[in-house]
Amino acid sequence: MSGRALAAVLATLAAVTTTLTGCSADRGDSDTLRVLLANFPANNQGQAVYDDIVDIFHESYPDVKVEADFVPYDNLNAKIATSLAAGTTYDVISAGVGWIQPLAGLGAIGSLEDDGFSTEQLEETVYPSFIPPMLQDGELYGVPIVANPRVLAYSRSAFEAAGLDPDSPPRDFDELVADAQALTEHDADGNITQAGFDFWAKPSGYRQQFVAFLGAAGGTLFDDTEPRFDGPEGERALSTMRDLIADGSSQYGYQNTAQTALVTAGQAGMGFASPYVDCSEGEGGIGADKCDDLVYFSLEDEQSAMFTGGRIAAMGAQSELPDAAAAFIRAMQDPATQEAISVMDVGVPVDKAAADSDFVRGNPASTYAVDHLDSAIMEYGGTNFLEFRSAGGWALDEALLGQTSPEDALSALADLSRTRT
Amino acid sequence: MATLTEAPARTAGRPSQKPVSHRPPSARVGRALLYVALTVGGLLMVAPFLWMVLTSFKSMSEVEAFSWLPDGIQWRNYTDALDAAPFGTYFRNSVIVVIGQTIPVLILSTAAGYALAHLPVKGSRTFLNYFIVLLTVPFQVLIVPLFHVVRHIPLAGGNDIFGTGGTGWINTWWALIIPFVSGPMYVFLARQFFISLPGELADAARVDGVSELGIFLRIMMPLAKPALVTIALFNMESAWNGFLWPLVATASEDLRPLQFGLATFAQSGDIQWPFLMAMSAVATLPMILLFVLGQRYFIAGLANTGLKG
Amino acid sequence: MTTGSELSPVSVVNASSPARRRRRRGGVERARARAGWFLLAPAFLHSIVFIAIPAVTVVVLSFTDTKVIGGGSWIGLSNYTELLDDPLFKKAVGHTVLYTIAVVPVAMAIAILVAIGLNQNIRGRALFRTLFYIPVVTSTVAVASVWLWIYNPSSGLGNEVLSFLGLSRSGWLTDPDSALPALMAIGIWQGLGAKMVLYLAALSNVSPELVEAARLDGANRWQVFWNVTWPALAPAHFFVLVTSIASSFQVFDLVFVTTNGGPANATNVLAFDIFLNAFQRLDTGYAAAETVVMLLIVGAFVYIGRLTQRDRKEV
Repeated sequence: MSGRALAAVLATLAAVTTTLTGCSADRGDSDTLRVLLANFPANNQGQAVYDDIVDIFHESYPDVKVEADFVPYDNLNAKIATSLAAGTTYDVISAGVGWIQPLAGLGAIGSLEDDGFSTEQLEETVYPSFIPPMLQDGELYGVPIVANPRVLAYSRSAFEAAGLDPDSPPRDFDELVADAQALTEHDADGNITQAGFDFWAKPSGYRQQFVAFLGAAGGTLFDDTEPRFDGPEGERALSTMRDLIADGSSQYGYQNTAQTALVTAGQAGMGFASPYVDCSEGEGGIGADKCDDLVYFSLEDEQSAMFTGGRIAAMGAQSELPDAAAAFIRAMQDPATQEAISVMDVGVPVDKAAADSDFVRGNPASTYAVDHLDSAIMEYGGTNFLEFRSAGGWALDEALLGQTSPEDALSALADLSRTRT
Repeated sequence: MATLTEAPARTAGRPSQKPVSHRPPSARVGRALLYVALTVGGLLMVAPFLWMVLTSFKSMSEVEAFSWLPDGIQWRNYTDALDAAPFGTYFRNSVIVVIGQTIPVLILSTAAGYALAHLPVKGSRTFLNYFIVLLTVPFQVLIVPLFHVVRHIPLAGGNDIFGTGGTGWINTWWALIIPFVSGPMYVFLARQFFISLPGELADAARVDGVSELGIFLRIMMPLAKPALVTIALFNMESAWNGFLWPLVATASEDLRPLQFGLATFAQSGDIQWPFLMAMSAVATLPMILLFVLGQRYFIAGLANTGLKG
Repeated sequence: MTTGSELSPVSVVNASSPARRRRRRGGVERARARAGWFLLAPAFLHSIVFIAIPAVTVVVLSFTDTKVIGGGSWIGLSNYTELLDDPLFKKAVGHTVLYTIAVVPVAMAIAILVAIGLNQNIRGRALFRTLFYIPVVTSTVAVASVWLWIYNPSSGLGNEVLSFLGLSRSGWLTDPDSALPALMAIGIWQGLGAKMVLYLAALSNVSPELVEAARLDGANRWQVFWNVTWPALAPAHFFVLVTSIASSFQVFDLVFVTTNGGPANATNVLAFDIFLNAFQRLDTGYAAAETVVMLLIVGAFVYIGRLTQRDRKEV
C-alpha cells in the first residue's frame, strides 16, 4: 500500500513540475549556437557540407560554438513537432519552404528584418516567386537557400516511336493527355510496358503534382491563408490529372523499385523528373545516349509552370544570439554553400548569380531548371498550409480514382484547409 | 535439489519427442507434408531478406526494375557504405544501448512478473491490468510528454531539485537507456510465463528454508529460460532498431544509433538502395545470430527439468 | 473444450496452490508479500515515471486545444465532440477494427501451427525457426520493396498467381477496395515470427511428463494436444492476444512506407491518423483525444478477449 501512496505523490509532483516548467525553454551555453538542419544526411557528405558552413561562420564569430542537430527526411515532422512541443529552442532552423509561415504563425521563428535582412535585398538576388513564401504579415521570416524544382522530361525516341514530333512538347493539357495516350505501350496481356506519363508519385502522393498542374492552369493555391485552388483552374488541373490516370496513360501510385523517375529510368515516355541527371556511363549514371534522348519541358496550359520546393533558413524566435544566428544564415546563403547543399538536396542554387555557374551548366536537367525558375510555383499558405498538406493526399485521390468529381474533391479540401485550424 | 521431486515425477525420460515406436505410413505422409509446408512458408518469410542481401550486391542502376539476382557482385557497396558515414560510432552506440537496456529489463521485468504470478501482492490483478493498459498506449503519442519527464529529472544535467533550470538527461546516455530498463509488455510476458510454472517447486524450497529472493533467483529464474530468451530477443530487437526516440532525445552524433546511419541513405527522392541494403544486411546479421543462439532454449520440457533429481 | 480440460490429467497443474498457501503460517505469508512488493516495486515505479505520467499527460491534453507549442486552454469535451463529426477519424476506426479482427485470429492460428511444427524433433529445426523469425528483423524498407513488387499491378507476382488460378487481376495497394486486405496480408506475414517465438517459449513449458502420462492413458495425438498442450498454452494465448490487438491498433510503419494511408484513405488507420494530427497538423490536443478513444477501443477488445478465456483460471 505504501508503494501506491508513494507513487501517487511522485506522480503528482512530477505532473506539477512538468506543467509548471513545460513552457520554459532550455538553454545551453550562452555562446553556443544551436542549429536544426532538417533533411541533412548524417553521413560524411552532410558532415563536410556542415563543416564548411561552420568555417564560413567562424570567420565572423570565431568564439561561438555551433551545435547542429541533423534530422533525416522521413522523420522531419516528428522531430520539428517534438522540438517545438518540448520548448527546445534553436537559434537557426533550416527546413523546407512550406514550414516558414506555419512556424512563424506558431511563434517558433522570428522576423529577420531587425537583423540586416530585407525583402528588397532578397528581391535583387533571387527569383520573385521565392519571396512570398518567406513572408508572414509582410515581414521577412526566412531566406531561401536551395530550390528543388520538379522538371518534366520526355524521351525523344519514345516520341518518334509514337509518331509524335520530338521537337514539340505538349503545349496545353489537351495535348498532354493526347501525347501521353500515344506514348503508352502495352504487352499482349494488357500490362503497361511504357507509361505515357509518370507523375512520380506514391499512392496518396499527388499533392505537389497538383500544385504544378494548378499553376499551369493559371490558378493560385492560397491567397494569404484563404484557399483559392477550388476554382475552375483547380478543377481543370485535377480533371486533367484524373484523365491521365483514367485512360491508362499513367498507373495510379505506380513507382519502380528504386522509386526513381520513370522517364529517366526509361520506363515512361514522359513525366516528372529530378533537376539533376547523371549522364556518366559509370555507376549510377544513365549514360550520354540516354541523356541526349531526354528533353526537358514545363507543364503548360494557361501559363508555363514548374513546381518548386526548397530549403530555407530562419532564425529561432527565442534566439539569444541573433547576430550570430544571422551570420550563420548568411553562411548558408554563401554561393559555395548553396552549391554544396544543391548537390546534397538534388536541387539548384536560388541565387540568380549562380545561373551561369559550372555546377548548373554542367547538367542538362539543372540547366533547364535554373533557366525556368521564373515560372516556379511553390506551395505555401500560412498555417492553413499544414491542413492542405495533411489532407491533400487523400482528398485529391478521391478525384483521381473517380470516387468524386474534381469539383467536389477540391471544395471539400478547401473546406478542410479553412476550418480545421 | 533432490528433495524437490514431489510433483508428477514420472521419470519419463529426456524431452522424448522421438517416439521409438514404429511409425504408421500416415505419420510419414504427415511428416512429409510438414516439411513441404515449412519449406514453402520459410521461403515466403525469407524472401524480402534475400532480396535485401542480393540487392546489396547490385549496382545503382540495377535497382530501377525489380529483379532478384545481381548482374555482378559489387563488394564495393559494403566498403563504400561503411565509409559514407561514421558507422563505427553508430554500431558502438547501438550496442551500448542494447546492452544497457536488456540486462536491467531481464531483471526488473521478470522480478515484477514473478511477483504478480506467484507472490501474494495485494491487488495483483489490478497491477496486471495496469501494465496491460500501459502496453497498449502507442509510443508516438508518449514521445513529447516523455521528453518533458526526461528533461525534468531532478539534479541531472544542471537541473535543481525540482527538475528545472537545466536539460536533465536530454542528450545523454541516460535518456536512451533509463526510460526503457523495464517495460509493461515484458512484465506481462514474464507474469504469463511464471503463472504456468507449478508453485509446488517454490513451496518445497520454502520448506527447505530458502528465502523468497533465493527462490526467485535460484529456482524460478533458471526455469524461466525460454521466457528470458524471448524477452531478451524482443528487447534487443526493439533497442537495436530504435530510431524515433534517439532522434528526438539526442542532438549529438556521438549518441545516435545505427538506424540513424541507415537513414542517411534514404534521403528524399534519392534512395541509395545498394548502400541502404548493404548496411541493413550488416545491421540485421547480429539479430539473426542472437536468434539462432537463443532458439536453442525453446525445447520441449526444458522448463521442467528442475523437477527431476 | 471446457469439459475436456476439466477431465484431463492436466488439471493437476492448474489446481495450483492457493488453498495450500492459505494453510501456511502468517509469518511466511508476510515474508512472501514483502518479497512480492520488493520485486514488483522497481518495475512499477519505473512505469509510473516513464509511461504512466506521460500517458496521463496525454489524457489531460485531450481536454485542451493545445497546438504543438504549449499554452492550450481547457476546452472540455470539444475535441471529443469534434471527433464524432470527423469522417476521417471514423474511417480510421473502421479500418483499424477491421484490420485487427482479420489479422489477429489468422496470425495467431498460423503462429500456433508453425510453432507446433517447429517444436517437433525435425531435421533442420533451427534453420526453419530462423527463417520464420527473419521477417521480424528484416528492415521495413526491404519488406516494403518486395511486397510492393508482389503487389505491382502490371508485373507483380500477385497478379501472376491470380491469373494462374484463373482469377481476375487486382490493383492491390492501388485499388481502394483491395488495399486494406493487401495490407492485412503483409501484417499477418510480418507478425508471425514474434508470435511463433512466444508460442515456442510457451511450448517449452508444457510438461513432457503430462504428455507421456496422457499417451500411456491411451490418448491419441489429437487428444494429447487438445487436453494437455492446448490448456497449458492458455497464459501464452492471452499474452499473444493482448499484444497482437495492441500492435494491430498501433500499425504504422507498414502504412507509412507502403501506402501513406491511401489510396483515398483506404488504408488510413488510427495510428496513422494520430500521426498526421500530431506531427503534420501539429494539433496536439486533438491527437491526444484520438489516442484516448483508441485506448478505450483497445480496452474493449482486450476485455472481450479476456472473456474468451473465462473458462480457465489464472490466465
